[in-house]
Amino acid sequence: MNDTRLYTLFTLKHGIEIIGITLIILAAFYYQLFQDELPCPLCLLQRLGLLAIAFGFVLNLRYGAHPAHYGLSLVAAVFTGAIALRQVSLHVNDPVGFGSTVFGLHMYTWVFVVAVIAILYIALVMSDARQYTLPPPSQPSPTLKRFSLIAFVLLVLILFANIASTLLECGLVECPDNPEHYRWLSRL
Amino acid sequence: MPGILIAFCLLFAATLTAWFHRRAAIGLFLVFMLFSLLVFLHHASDSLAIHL
Repeated sequence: MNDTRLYTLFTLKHGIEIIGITLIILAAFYYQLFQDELPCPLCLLQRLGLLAIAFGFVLNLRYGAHPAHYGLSLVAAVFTGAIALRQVSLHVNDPVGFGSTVFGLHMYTWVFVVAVIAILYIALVMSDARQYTLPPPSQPSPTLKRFSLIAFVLLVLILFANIASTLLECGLVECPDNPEHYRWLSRL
Repeated sequence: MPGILIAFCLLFAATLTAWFHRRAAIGLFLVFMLFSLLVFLHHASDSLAIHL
């Protein structure tokens, strides 16, 4: 496989990683908007952690793969796992738990599973040394550039949606432990 | 203090900056990580009584 094709494949991989994370957050928004399940502070922090994992992938997409970029994603994945584990431990003796379940597991448990998978996945993909020495192609494909931009814009939009949602839910004060309504919407 | 909202804004700024300036983005991301860690510690201890 020549360098250009390999570079294209790695760039595609970085874009797919970003889109994968935005899809997870979109699923969380589905439960928030259509099942009326407002995210608690720890749930919001888990979203934050998942989106932070994508930061390293954005750097890889824009500037080429680098171990430091993967390192930032790894730190974010460990952070996300710690938050999820804290919430799991809060409800581990509670037969009802917090929020609805997906395939029998609560969403905070799924976040923990995703964080562990992300840690293993990043550890595996960052060990492929070929990606660090690949020269960028002299004439990058316009389709690939467009794909990279779409993945980045999707991530920025989902981040903005989270800022708006947090502002509506909590306002400019600390988020309640068990939110039942949007503070800013109930003011109207 | 709206800690989670500020953390989201920091990550938004870091991500947006990442497209234009690598070093500034990494700096912002490190600030975000430190701030988020403090917010997490607050929510994991003060608000939701933790006993270690």
